[in-house]
Amino acid sequence: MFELDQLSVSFGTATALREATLTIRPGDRLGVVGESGSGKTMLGLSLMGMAPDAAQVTGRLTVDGQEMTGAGEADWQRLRARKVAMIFQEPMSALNPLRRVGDTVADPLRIHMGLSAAEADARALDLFREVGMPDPEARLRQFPHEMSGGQRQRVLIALALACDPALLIADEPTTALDANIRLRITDLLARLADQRGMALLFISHDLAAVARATTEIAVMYGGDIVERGATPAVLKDPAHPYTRGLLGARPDPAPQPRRNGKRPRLPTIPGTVPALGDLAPGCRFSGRCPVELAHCATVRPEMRDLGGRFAACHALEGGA
Amino acid sequence: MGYFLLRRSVGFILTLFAVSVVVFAVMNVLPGDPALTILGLDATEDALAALRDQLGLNDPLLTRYWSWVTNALTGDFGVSHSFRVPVAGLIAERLPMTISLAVSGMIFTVVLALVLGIAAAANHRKAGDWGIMFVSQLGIAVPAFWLAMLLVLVFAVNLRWLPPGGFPGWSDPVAAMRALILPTVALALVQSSVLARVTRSSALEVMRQDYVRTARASGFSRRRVLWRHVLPNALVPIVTIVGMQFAALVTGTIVIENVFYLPGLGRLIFQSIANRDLPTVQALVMLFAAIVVTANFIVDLLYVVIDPRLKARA
Repeated sequence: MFELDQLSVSFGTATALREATLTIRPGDRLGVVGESGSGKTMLGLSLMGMAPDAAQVTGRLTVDGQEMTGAGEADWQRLRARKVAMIFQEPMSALNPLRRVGDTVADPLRIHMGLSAAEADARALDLFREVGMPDPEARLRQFPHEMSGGQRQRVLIALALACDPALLIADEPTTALDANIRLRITDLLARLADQRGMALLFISHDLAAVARATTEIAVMYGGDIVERGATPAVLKDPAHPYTRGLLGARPDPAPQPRRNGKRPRLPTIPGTVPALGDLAPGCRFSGRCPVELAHCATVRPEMRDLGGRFAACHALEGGA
Repeated sequence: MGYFLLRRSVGFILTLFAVSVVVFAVMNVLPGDPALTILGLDATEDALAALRDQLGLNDPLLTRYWSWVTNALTGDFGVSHSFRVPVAGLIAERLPMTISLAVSGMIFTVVLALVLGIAAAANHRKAGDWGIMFVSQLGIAVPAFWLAMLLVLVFAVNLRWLPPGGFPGWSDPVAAMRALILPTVALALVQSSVLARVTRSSALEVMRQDYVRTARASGFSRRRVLWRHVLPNALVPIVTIVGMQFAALVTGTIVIENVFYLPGLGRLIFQSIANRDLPTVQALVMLFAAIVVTANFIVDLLYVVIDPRLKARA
């Protein structure tokens, strides 16, 4: 179980993650959505103890009751791979180009689980089968440059699963992949989490992928978690104005025909994500919000319970 | 891969051919008369002419070049003018000394540079990094002959820990290694300082890569990440510099063997040039060139061993 209590990550005056409070239980499948720079990746890195050296981390983080706030690199090394594993956005560059992918997957098994080289190789083959790698025996001996992006991402998933972690963090796992592979990797992650009883933190800006892979969702903006709840409920009936904007900004899969030779403009949220140092002290979304109130920019809205789901917005006050 | 080896081997032979032409041409347009050097200033004109004839100095240039090359290919580099013995024997006697010094210099260079370079990269922008960079800057700035004299003064004359010079031969390995310590440091400190900086910057570049983050996320210790993931990926520029440095170390033996009175090829080439001993100088310059070309050849092979991605292109 992973518990975050008011966890913040900042760089000087810039806050990348502001007082995130979140509990991840075994088997949870939680989606984290938001634009670039919303703090999604920083949330994932914090759970790995891999926030950049320059970052100040405050608040509390416990893993199975063990206090990890301010824990040293050695403590985190014991948790990584065995308790929490992470796969990253760029499968093309995330694998050591000089090592055969089978060795890359077998390494943590030898080093952390004490398996012999032969046992680790056999286990790597099992993992390749589990992640649906085509022709797994031959693939073990290949180098990353001999594989496609989708195959490399499967290697990284196999690597992350190697030591049977309780939580798998997938940071934009499909963004760099071809569209036809995205769906398969998304479904693979959801199925693996389900079969293994493993918690999944699925970080993405692809709302369709999040809808498929997760049961819970957290929407982030400017370092804040602004809305939280069951995935179908939040996507069907978003409460926070930012979530509504995000859902409204999805490109229509069947766009309207050209009119007067012009395509209709893609829907967008007005304005741009402000730089981390320029965020308002109150609600981070103030300035771009269509229902902004006078005190939004200065007073931070509390997370309020909307009946099993939560949103932080002053406009919801009075039980909207 | 077979094509790569063939192409490289042809290049190797062509390079040595070009070197042999240049060496021969330079040696034969240099001023100075070997016959005069051998017989001395008091020699009669008749004696000089007879000796020139005997040495083959009156033959046409091409004939002399051809006989030099064909003889050299059979291991016959002629007779030294000053020592009056076959050059091949002179070289064979002294080669182990110079190989010992160059190899120990290479080991010293690589080990020290990798440890310091990786340590500096691991402590990027911290005291350790600055300290190592400062010391390596000093190492680059200090001339080898001056460092050699300083080392002799401190460790041989004042502290009496190590011999000031000479080489007892490998029959007594401990004494041989003790005799090699100071020459090795004097020879290799500059190269090691250069290589440490190359290692540091190459490692820093690699440490930014995604796969290093993957290795950290796999729960590996910092040490394992640095030595097993960062260093191998940082090796290509390091190996390039090491290849060039091996050449510098081999030629650097000329100065170091003279300072430490080591009976090697470096001292021999120095004496031969002073004595206008053409056959010896020619043979030695060819040998040094062959060593340098071979080192580069090995570096080219190492690239392919290090990086499987180059195999497809090689």
